[in-house]
Amino acid sequence: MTVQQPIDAAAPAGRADLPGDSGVWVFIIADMSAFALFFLVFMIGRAGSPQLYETSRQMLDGHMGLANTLILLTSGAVMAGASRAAQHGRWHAARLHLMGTLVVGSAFGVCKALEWHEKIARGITLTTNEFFSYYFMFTGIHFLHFIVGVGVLLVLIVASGDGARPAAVRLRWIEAGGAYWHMVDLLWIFLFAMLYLMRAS
Amino acid sequence: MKAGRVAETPIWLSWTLLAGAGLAGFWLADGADSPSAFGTEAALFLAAFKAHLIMRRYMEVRWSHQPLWTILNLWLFAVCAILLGGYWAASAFK
Repeated sequence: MTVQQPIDAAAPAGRADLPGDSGVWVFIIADMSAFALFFLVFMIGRAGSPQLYETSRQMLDGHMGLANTLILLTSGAVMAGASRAAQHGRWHAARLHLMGTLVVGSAFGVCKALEWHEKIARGITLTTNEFFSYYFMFTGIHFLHFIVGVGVLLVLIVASGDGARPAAVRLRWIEAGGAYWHMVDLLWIFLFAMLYLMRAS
Repeated sequence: MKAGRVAETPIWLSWTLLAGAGLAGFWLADGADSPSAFGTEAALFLAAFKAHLIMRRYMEVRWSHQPLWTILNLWLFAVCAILLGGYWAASAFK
């Protein structure tokens, strides 16, 4: 039987309202700053060759990009459900939500692999032109983040079921993992807008 | 207090808003018959709206200490400035 434990009582002093772990937030801010620089580099390149970027953009499959957006938004919602369940001390529900996040989120990996495969089959690679160099680099780096997120989810699924671990620790881990997973979602939203939706001015 | 975080907006409502904004942004930028600069601008604003909503509802950052919330909003502002500023600058110097 799941035992509901008073989570706040065990929370570190002065950090009761910080979701997850402060170290994770430092990483998230640094990572998001790096992506902001990627966006800047892309926009500078785009300003130099607007026609090349527009013709290349039209070769992307917007529907696949939209599907990936909806998949990540949905997996993010399930992950938020895991955090909420953990906050209530409902560890079994939290674990099920984590598994749901993993299942839904995995569809992102499948879609991305299919999309890259289709591009490469058409002879479009990292060296095709500047736009596709950025496309493969940025979506590739984002995909690595996604893979790390999948690993984090697997660890959380195991750890959340470990009743010997204090509830406050398990909650902190789930919230930290959730913050990371939501960051993956957040970055994709802007990658999708920038790479797939931004038409020639 | 963490208990205060729990009684928040239902997750399904946030998801509906996010998915709706995603579909609307795609339709405005890519699906409309006569796309214009407005479609791209609207899609970028909707992306910013989605990011804000994720930070607020999914990450639950608004309950954490103010500096984190401020930093994330500054990041969001900077990214919007880069994307929209870059887009408008390219239009102006075309």
